[in-house]
Amino acid sequence: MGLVPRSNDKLGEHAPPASSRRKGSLATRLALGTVFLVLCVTGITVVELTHREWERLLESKRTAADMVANLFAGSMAPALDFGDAEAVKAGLDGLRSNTMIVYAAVFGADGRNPVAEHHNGRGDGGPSDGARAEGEIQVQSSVHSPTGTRLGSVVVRVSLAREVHAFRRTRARLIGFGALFATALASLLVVIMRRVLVAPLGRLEAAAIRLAAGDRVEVPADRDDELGSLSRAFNSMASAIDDRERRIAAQNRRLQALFDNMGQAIIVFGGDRLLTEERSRSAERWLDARPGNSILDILYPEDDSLDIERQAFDAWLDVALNAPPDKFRELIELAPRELERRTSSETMFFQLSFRLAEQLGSTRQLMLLATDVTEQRRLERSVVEKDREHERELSALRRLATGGGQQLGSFLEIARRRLATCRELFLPSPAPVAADGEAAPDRALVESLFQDLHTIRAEARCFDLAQLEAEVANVENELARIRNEDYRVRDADRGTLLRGIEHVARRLDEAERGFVEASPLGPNALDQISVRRSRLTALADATRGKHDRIARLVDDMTARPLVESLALLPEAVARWAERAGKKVQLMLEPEKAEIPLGLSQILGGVLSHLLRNAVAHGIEPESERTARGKPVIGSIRVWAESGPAGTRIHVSDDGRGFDLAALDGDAPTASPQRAFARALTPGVTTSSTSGDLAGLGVGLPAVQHELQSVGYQIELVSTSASGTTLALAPLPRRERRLLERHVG
Amino acid sequence: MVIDDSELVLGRVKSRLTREGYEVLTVSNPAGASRQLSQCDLVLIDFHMPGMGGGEVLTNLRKAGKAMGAQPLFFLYTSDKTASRKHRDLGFDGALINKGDDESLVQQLAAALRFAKLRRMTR
Repeated sequence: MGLVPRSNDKLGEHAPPASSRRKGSLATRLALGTVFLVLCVTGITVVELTHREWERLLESKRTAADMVANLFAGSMAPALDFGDAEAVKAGLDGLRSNTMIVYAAVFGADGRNPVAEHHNGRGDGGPSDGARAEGEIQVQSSVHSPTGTRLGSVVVRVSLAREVHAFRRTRARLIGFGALFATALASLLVVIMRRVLVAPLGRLEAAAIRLAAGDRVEVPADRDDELGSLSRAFNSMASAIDDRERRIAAQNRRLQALFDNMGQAIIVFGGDRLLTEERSRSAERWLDARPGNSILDILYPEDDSLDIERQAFDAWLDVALNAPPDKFRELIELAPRELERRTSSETMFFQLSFRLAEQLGSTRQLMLLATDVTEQRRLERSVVEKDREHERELSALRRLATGGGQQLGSFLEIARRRLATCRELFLPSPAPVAADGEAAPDRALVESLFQDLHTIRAEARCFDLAQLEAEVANVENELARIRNEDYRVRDADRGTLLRGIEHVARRLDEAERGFVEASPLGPNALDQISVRRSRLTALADATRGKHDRIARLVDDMTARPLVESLALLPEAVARWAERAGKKVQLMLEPEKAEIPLGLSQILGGVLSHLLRNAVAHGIEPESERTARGKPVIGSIRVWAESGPAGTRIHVSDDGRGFDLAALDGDAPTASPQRAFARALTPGVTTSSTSGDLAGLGVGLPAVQHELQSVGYQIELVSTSASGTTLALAPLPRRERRLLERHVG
Repeated sequence: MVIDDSELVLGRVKSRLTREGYEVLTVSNPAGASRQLSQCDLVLIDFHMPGMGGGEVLTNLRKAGKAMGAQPLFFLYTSDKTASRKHRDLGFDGALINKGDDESLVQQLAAALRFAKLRRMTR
């Protein structure tokens, strides 16, 4: 297979005419011609020779007859002069001994009636006529007296039988020799021509046929004549063809390699939509493109009436292969540009580009370049998939932020209502009766079920609820089967369908449970609605300082999930630990705690202070922790605890604990809590050095101040060499009121 | 134009096709769809809709389109293969299958629009 492959069979079409088509070989025709020529020459020669021989014989005979007639006339002169008839008759009898004389007569001076005549018994006698003259010669001689008076005449007729016989014998001999000579000469000429002309031409013919079949050939060219020149010219032509074919083959190989490396399938097809010989290896390998196949079937192998891509390509081929050349460029824009080819083992993607390959009059050939973009598409799809995943996460966040739980809740509620409708359809009711008295098929039941379930499936897909979707699909398949049969829902089908509906209902419950478990809000996620924050804040501000039922409801309504305030901490703690050259792990256990709106607004900052302090001062360097027998990686834990007074948030670490002695300073206190209270005084720090993380002595007092502004305070729960636990706790009600009055 | 009784499906289709550069009109109540026909090259219609099936919606829209001089292509859009196979009998110009597979939708839609242009050229 090559870019421009030509099979030997095809070349055979251009081979010289086969021997079977000849009317006769050149040697035969030359031999026949020679024989004809020699026969003509021989025939003419034989005719000429026999003619001459016959003339010679005739002349001799005539001379002899003249002599006989003259002698006889001379002997008859006295008899005629004396009118002696008996003497005349006796003279004539004397001629009887000559068998060649067939007739003799003596006439008187009047020449009318013969005086006497002689017949040899073979003729009818009398003067000769024209016909008889052919086989005989007749001569006449006058009889004169010694004085010269004419006395009469004699007529003698002699036979030519002997001459004719001799002539025929001679002629037969001449013809025989001539024929023999002509045959011998013709045979000799045929042999010479076969050897000198026909055999070399035959060799040239055979060589030409082998050359046409693609063989490399050379014929003997040692003769110094026209055939030698022809053979040398033939060898030169064969060598040039061979050289050209080698160069074409080499060029094809280079082009082939180039195309293979380009990763393109190249296909050429004609106005009949069928593939021509020209194609690349990739086209065979990827698309199974073979000459004679239809381009439509190559690109879209399944003849499916639902395949709109196949239909569009089919329509395009109709137009593109017959449109005027000036419209073709416009039509290229409507050709398919992408092809997804699925096999049992893999899916390949191709970028398609159609070009005009050849335009001969109204006949058009098009070329398709299909570029393998599988890797690119896979990468793109992977990116898209990741984007989609990201989008899903964002979408989930957005749904949460905009009351997405409400959307899911709405879907669950409507879907359950639809399932209830489905169940009701199975309740016993009077069966509609068809006109012919037979129970009508359950068409309405099937279609209603199908419609409700189909909608549930489509909506489930929007929430990526694949298991629910699959469960609905099972019931739909069952309905499709019933619909394709006879629309009759039999008892067994009722059981199957009802079980299927219950499975769908269970999947709905599971979907709800999954969503609730995945949501930090817990069951509340389904109870969320979107409310503008500014309005809530305004409402909270309006009820601040009040402790009635409305204020408590507002507090509950404006409460925020603790997890919101912790979202940024893991990344920040990792960064601080890296800068401090320590290894720290952060454990967040927010449960599903909610905190007041005010605290939620400052809690991120407060926890940042505390965790930064823990990383900088609490957690020891690795060497120190090892020496103290602590795990190399320090731990910080944040967890919440709900109580009647409100949510307490604990922050503990397994570091070295507070340096209470340093905190006590000049006024030693009795308890760690009191010492800690001193740390809440601005300017007090336990660190001997300050750095970019902590140690300026402004952190804790600022934290305490901020917490108090929202009704909370920081407490030291415990501190020792094995760690510290702090708590952010609601201020006791009395202190809160005092504070509110003070702030007010 | 996409006609479907589920707002969720409409939202998803609109989001995907808008990203591909299409202008998409979504209609959940087929009753008002005819007013916007003149703006459309192609109308996708769901098969299973409460009250009015896809075939009935098609008949009404074709009538309205003829009266307005608008002749968009009408395609059935469903994952129900049995219904898809009947799309010609119902009078649809074609069917887009694999409803819910967004990538497939994009490819099929491109082919359907090419098909629509070719059909206009050969009319």
